[in-house]
Amino acid sequence: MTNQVAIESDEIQAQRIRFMGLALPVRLGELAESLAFATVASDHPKYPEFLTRTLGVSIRLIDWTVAEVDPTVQSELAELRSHLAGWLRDTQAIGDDPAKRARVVAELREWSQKILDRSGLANYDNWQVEFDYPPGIRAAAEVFV
Amino acid sequence: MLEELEDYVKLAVDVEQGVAAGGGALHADCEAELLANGSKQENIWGADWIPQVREVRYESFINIRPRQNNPAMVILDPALRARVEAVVRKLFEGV
Repeated sequence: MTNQVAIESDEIQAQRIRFMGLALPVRLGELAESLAFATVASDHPKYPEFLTRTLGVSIRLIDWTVAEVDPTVQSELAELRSHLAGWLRDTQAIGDDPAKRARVVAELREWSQKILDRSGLANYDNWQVEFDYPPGIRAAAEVFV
Repeated sequence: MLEELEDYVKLAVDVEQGVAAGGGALHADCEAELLANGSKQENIWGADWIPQVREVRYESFINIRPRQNNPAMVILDPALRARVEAVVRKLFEGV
């Protein structure tokens, strides 16, 4: 009988543990960054494969974050996840249609900015708040406060 | 968190020393490595190298630097982008 239980690979598990150790604003910042990075797929020679992988990363980051954000952001993340899952199902068709590609890139950009706004990392005032940054980010806060 | 893409490398680049750290799970990990090696934080910028298209990307949330006139994830200053690109291409293309 086939085992139907989804097993998390060691690599994904290591990512999850690393990610879950970050402060919530930093996690949202990582999500914003991964959404922006997914736009690279538009010009990539292995378009469907690259888009599939980059969208998959963003979906995982949402899954690892959504339980801890406030209800408003939770709704937004749920909506975003729905878009990403839709694009994931449709990567070949998106790849074959330049107009669809352009639309997906534009929407990824919009979502990236929205999530970055929600993270608070782009708000200068928040740089004076003691987030639990990773070492490099913490150093950045010390420099810029 | 995209290090699983073997055709993609996250980097932190010290534009003054002309060095970079790469391969971390996060840009911040790469940045921390440079800081530990004596780089000054204000000289470090986040980037990505995508070998298949030989492209340097300049977008990371470690690049958000209000006091260095960079309030966005992407490096806004074309001259600074050129300095980052020069370091990355020298390291990855040997030019």
